[in-house]
Amino acid sequence: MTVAFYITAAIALLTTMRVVTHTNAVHALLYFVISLLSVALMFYLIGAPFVAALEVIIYAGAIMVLFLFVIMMLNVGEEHARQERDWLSRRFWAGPGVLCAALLAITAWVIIETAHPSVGHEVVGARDVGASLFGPYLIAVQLAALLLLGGLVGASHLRRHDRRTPLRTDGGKGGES
Amino acid sequence: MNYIEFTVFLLPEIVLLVTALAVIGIDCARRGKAATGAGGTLASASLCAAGILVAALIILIMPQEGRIAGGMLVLDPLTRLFKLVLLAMTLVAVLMLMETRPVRHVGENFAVMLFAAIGMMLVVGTEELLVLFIGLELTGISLYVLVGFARSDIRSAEAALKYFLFGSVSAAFLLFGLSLIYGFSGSTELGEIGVAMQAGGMEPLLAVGLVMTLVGFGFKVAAVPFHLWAPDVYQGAPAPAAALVASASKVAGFFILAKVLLLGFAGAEGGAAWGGFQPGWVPLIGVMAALSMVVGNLAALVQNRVRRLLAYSGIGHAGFMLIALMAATPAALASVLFYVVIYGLTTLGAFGVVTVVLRAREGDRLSDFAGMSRQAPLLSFSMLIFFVSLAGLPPLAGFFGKFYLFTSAMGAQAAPGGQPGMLWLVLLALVMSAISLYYYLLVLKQIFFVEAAEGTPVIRASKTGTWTCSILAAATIVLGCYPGILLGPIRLAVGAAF
Repeated sequence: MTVAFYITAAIALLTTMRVVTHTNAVHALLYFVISLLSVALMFYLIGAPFVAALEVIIYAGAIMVLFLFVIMMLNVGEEHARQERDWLSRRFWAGPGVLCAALLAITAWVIIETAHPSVGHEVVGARDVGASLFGPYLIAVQLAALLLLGGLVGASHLRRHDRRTPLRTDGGKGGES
Repeated sequence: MNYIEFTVFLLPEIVLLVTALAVIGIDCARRGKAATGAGGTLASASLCAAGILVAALIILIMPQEGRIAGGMLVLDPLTRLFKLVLLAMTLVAVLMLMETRPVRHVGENFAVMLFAAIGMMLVVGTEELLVLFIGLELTGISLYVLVGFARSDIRSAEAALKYFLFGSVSAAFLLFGLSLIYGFSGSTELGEIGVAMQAGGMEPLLAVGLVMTLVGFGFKVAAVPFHLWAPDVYQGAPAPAAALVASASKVAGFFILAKVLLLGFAGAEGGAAWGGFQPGWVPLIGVMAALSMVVGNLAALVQNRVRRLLAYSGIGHAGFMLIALMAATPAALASVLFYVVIYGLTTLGAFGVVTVVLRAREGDRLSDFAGMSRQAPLLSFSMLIFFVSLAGLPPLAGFFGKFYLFTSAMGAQAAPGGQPGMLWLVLLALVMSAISLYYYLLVLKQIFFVEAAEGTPVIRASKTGTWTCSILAAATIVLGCYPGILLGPIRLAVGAAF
């Protein structure tokens, strides 16, 4: 169990690094799919089979495939990869990299320092997840639907092609819209 | 818990949601006649205003109080009062949107504004981390869209992208921090987290969670060093969106920050008295407050554009409010909440005036305000009131806001020698407050003493614009003369809640 966990964790880390550093969007996405699959396996190993299945079906399955389609439709080509490579120069990532490394070091130290009792291996199945979604977390679920609706309205505005310039009804005088 | 109870508790939000959907519906139905934008704007705006008023009325007359589902929804005098404040600010933003140049799909603009209002009301009315995060995200997503709404304007797009990138990274930090806190306390409810913190003491893991959570909230209230988005967003966004970000979003941000710190992180305060620092959230907030005051007020001195100036002054004001938050007493909380409402109202009014100037002169440089007092006397007078109040001169509301902030900060965190421990921060705040007077006066000098150059367009305010700004200015004066009108209910409500 433990060995399997560390192997999947290592794969998740490696592939996630490649998601960030890869200059080709499609390749980066494929790495992302692998990363999500290994995270799903980690969930399975710590006793959350339902979440693992959701991770595979929703993230690795539906959302990533959608991403792939979108990227293919956007026709991201060689010049985008070149642009990405330019953005990956050291002077861009050095500062944030140092800060993130410091944060990682602190978090790692803290986790080692903290006396934590061993994680329980209680298996949480689909029934338990469903019961809590429709029980104590009912409101949160409903509000999440609201969040999706808000995002949908926003996205439907942002994707729209405005062929004409904004309306002018004030005698052609410009200003802020 | 059952659905009826749930519906009753969320009735104002549901009214807003239905209004938003109806506005989108009208927009779709009018699509064929989209060429005449003005009529659609008026219809959508009046529908929005009606929805907001109905929601406010429901909050006013609804007798329900209490908390359901483990603090996921909380209705008490304090949350009701702040939901009303948020609704009032959204109403002003809706009126401002009506005033700006009509764009295509204006209905969506109104609808997204209502979504933002729903998000902020959820944030205010909860004591549970899950709902809190959903509310913050709903607010955030709506505001990103609002900021980027003027799609033909490259500055608006830039502002939206910056806001979105900063916002999503800070949301990630917030979520990480909240999950660590959940891991530490085993609960997502603020009250239980507070109990766990008091029992468990300051563990290293908790410290990391605390810092990450404060990063997320620091972005929401635009405190240094998480302020970089503010100037670009204030300047690039369409004025109503910027006004909403500057007022209502800040009110909701400070409200929930105060609630999380005082309820959830009770027992992890630490100390920030000069020479007596102790680990906890108070010293963290102290550093953010000091930096915000210095950076915000000094950077505002050199701004040539009024919207950027308002952004930097907003960062400085966030610093002032954070000082009183450090006192961590109910009295200090009341003063923070009083101040943030005053700040929101005056900033909203200032943005209203800026909108009018932008529309007339296509810019918001200081020189664009020249000669305004001759052309729009009432608006100029309102601007005078707003800026003098922001600078904190008596007898306006801003003075009493600052007075209560600083006295409550002085009373807290006694240093070993018996002196007020936060004297250093209060002194810094007083100096910065004096500096802020200078840049506010720079704008007022342009308005009142500089003649407009030959050929600059005349500033002509519409009736709605003048009325809205005048009412806000009148409110600032009245709250200055009788601060008890607002402070009394806030104190009572805070007393009931803590």
